[in-house]
Amino acid sequence: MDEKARAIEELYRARYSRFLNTLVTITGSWDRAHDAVQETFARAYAARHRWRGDSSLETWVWRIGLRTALGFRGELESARLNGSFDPLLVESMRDPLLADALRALPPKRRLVVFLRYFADLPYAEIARICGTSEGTIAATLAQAREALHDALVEEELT
Amino acid sequence: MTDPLHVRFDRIRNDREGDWQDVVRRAKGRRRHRRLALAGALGVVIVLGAPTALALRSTIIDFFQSEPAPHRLVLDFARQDAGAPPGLDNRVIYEQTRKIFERKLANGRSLALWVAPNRRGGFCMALVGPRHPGGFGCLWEERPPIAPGVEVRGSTSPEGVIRSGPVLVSGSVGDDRAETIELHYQDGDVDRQTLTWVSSPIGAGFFLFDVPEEHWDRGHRFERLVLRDDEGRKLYSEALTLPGPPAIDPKTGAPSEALQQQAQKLITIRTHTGVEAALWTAPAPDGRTCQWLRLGASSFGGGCSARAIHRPLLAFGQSQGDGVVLLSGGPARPDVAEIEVRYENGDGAVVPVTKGMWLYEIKPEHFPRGHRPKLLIARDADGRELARRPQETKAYGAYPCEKPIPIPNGHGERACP
Repeated sequence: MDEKARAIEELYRARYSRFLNTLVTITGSWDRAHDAVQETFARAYAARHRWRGDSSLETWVWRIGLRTALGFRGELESARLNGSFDPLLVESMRDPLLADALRALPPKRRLVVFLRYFADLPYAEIARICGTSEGTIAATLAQAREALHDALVEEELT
Repeated sequence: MTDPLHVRFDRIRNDREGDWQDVVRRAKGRRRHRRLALAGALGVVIVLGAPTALALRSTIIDFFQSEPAPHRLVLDFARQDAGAPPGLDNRVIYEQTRKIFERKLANGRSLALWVAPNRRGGFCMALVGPRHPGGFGCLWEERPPIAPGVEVRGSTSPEGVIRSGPVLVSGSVGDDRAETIELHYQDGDVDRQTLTWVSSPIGAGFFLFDVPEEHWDRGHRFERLVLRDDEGRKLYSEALTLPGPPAIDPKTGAPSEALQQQAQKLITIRTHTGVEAALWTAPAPDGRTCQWLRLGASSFGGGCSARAIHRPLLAFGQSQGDGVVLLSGGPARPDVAEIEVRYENGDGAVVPVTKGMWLYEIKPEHFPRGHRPKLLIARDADGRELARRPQETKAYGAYPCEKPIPIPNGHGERACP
């Protein structure tokens, strides 16, 4: 097995669950999310020679992942990744307050939240995936955190 | 300081394990897709420059671009796991059922191959015609070079003589170098066709042979499937025969695989001759269900069905002997509650299903042509139709008669009309 193949396998084994939890916010079901993750890594594995190393392998695979998940939802895979789709928390009953608070966020901010808290990605990676600056991501997350904090505290107090 | 949102998201996170081998398999399917698409483009150049170099090329289908199944078929796929023992369900992703191809048979009818991926690392498939619900089959993670299936969708005598067709050889191919598949016959004839390859997540090639009538008789039947690559090199060969009558215990009439200490006399009926007909069942050691019929002290044949995970809605057989004709079926899916029998002359009957099995006698007034069963319908407990199977009404030898006549098979055999 070549070096890139090994790196993709290692990434898959280490991050499968993070991909699954993030992509399910786009596909809407766990089964479709699993298929999306499998397809994501299959596409990456088959096209690994096209990864030139100008972004991290993980960033490259995440971009494939988001486009694949969009494809599973029946939307154009060429849709822009910077907020042109609408991810949602599935199984909202597991934390209804958080689900409501997330729903109140604009879709782009919601995606950034999911990439941060489900995918555990650093700001710089999220910025590269979304095609924006690290500062924009930091600001977006700060606004999202503030909005979520306010909504959750308010709900829990009432 | 810990971000409280991290804690909150961690609580709702779903930790599951992936399946790397499935990723690799899907990736290989994608590579094949691209390679053959390129080969197709180059093929045009070859045809222009050197027509004699043209070789048979398999077809490639992008699974997600294929025609989605209609709702009733999606439901059929969804029902396949109903009643499957724990661990033996196929976990079919039924909402992704899609059409792979549709072929016209020699009898003028069409059959379509529908395939859905499953979460066992494989796929499930069904050959469905406008008047035939089709038999379902599934592969899990393993991709054998050839996974063939043989179906006689007509009638066969107890001695194994095919009375009516179609006779179908279909299945999937897992060797991704294969471009063509050949069906070799005992008399040296060969039928050849290109494979229809389906992209990830299916990652397999498919074929369907409608065996011509001249190859139904012994000495002319199929005997082997052969896979070849794009240069005609043999990749794999597998013997293939029509399933013969099963080995039977001469004392009880039970198939030899049946665990007879667990045998159960499930259904009994009193025939018009006054003799008891009984349908017996017993499990086989590998989990299959065996069934056999007895008429009085005589064995009436039997066999062991496919595994429960492949239970068809309406599978049945017709047996005759000592002036008695019996229809028996099963194991049916758990939601099949009764079978309606409709006759050519307008008569009808409803047969209850007991633990997935049923037994019914066709009385002598329904032996002559024009009076025979023409349609069987499976219904659930609420009377909803689940499946229907037209019944051959003009087959030779299916019903007793006073004067057998020569049948047009070229061998001088005689049978009842």
